[in-house]
Amino acid sequence: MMEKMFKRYKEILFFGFSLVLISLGLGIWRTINEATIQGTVVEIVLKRFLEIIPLLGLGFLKLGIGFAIVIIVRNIKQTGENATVSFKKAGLKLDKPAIPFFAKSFPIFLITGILFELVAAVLMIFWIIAGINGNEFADHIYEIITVPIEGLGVAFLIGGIAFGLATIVLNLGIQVNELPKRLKALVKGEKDLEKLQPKNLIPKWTKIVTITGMIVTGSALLPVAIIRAMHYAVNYSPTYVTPVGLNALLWDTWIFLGIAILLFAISYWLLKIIKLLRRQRTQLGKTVEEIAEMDVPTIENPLKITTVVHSFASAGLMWMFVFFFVIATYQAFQETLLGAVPLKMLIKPGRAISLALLFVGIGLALLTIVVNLNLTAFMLPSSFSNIVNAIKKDNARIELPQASDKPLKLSPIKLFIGLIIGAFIVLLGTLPLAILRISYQFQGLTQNQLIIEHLIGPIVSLGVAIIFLMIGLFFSTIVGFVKARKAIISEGVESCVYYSIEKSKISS
Amino acid sequence: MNDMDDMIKMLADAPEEQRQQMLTQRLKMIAGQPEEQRVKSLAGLITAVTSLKEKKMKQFIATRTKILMGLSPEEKDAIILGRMKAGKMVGEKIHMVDMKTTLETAQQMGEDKLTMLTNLMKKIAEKNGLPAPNFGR
Repeated sequence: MMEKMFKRYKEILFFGFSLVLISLGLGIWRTINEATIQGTVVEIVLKRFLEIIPLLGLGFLKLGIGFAIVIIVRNIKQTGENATVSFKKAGLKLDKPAIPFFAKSFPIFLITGILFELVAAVLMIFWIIAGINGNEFADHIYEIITVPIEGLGVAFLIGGIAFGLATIVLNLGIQVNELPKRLKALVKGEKDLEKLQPKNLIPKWTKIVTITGMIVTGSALLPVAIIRAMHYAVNYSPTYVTPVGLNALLWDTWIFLGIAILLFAISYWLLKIIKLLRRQRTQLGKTVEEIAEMDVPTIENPLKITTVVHSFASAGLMWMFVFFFVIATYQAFQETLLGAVPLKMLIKPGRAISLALLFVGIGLALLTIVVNLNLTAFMLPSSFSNIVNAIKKDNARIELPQASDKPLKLSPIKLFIGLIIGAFIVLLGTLPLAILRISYQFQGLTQNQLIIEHLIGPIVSLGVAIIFLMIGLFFSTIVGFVKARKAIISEGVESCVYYSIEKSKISS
Repeated sequence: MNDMDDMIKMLADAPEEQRQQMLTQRLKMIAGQPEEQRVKSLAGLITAVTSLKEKKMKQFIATRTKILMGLSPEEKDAIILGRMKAGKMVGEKIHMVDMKTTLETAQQMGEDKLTMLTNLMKKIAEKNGLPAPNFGR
């Protein structure tokens, strides 16, 4: 059943996107009818619905991305397994690499994540009922508990995506190193190969950053929510005010810090994949050169946009850190030193800028990955043709493709533009509104006069949903390439092994 | 969807120049495969191609026919023989759709190309003891 679910990643992506669109529609309707629905059941239901459903939609979008990564991992793994079966036919002694914990468990992380999000959606129903019944105590307790559970869902979903990418790094790394080694051993008639050391393929620091990001995101809201709920229950009174240290503002920014750390880690996993894809072509070229004794064109220099990915990832994370400390300081002094500064208004735009930077970096990395996969798809068949011909002792050689002058022409630029539009909408939903709010605050007007405020959440969610949808479609493109790669490598290795066995039969 | 379906869909969606380059490499690779594997690969390829929408399928087969004409005689023979054997694997319907579209494309390239292709098929069938190819015409 799970296998079928994984394959339905595109449907899951579009389902998540439609949830966000429905929320946006309801958000607009709520804003237009603000005056007539104020204090009614409709307002109570909408307030809570719009708090949770867009996040659930984003959760499904993340799940869709995660499932696409599961499909990619399975195909890369299958490529290795097919090749191993073929090499074993030729008598090569190969052992199975030990699989690390994260590689086995990242799909479970994804499922756990969406389950948390669904629990939050169920709690939302109780929250709505408490609101309708006017049960202020239960209403507040549900509010405190529901949002943190969402946070745990986010931690597992983004963490699952990051560890899915780590699993791609692991499997791709093994193949980039092993395939040329095994092909050479096949040609030379060697049977014993060095043992695999998959642990060395995983960058330690990126793994640490990923785990840190998951802990920060997951721990941001749940413990403090329990403390807040208990504090509220013990000190309950109609005039209850949350103490400064327990204010949601700080912890809300803490969860965003966790998300930023995870996105930063994702950027670096993607960069590692880019490096490996490039290395795959270099190694394959050298193997063809050695086995087929022919000149192989040098591959392109690394794309310049790869450097920009580092800059976007670092700038995005730094910005979030700075913001976090500014908020922490503000929290500490809010009613004493900085009471008059409307810093609160800048929180959402601050986070949005950081997320936009990180997502643009991720988009550029994905763009580079697709370019590299395209170039690999150009190179793989001719490389195998030459190796097969060399094994067959056939002198025919096929020229390998020359380095591309304009590799970026091979990139799915439309998806990247979509991602930029998403980032722009995220900023649009926060920055201009923040400026408006600050100017109104100085004019002494209350927030109620800014009914458009209710649109911030749905607009930002729409922007993020577009970004996630584009990232999902990027991964969907990658799925196509990875399947093609599997077919070519599996068939190529099988041909090499077949002719190598035939050759040894003739010579013996 | 199997791997070949995905690959063909990806190639069908690619710009003509890219499709031509990638498909040339792929056909050359298939031509070099052992016979059993080559037949399987070509069966997968024609099944995937005929599952495309008509416009894309015609475009794809046109590119494939153009590439086939430009292959070396050995490669051409290997592909055509594999294709004829793959016809039995994929069933009459798929075989005929692919065959008819290929011949239509060859005709558009010129009567001489069509004659060359049909004659080559007949010759390969005869040489390998296969029944005379059914062109559906």
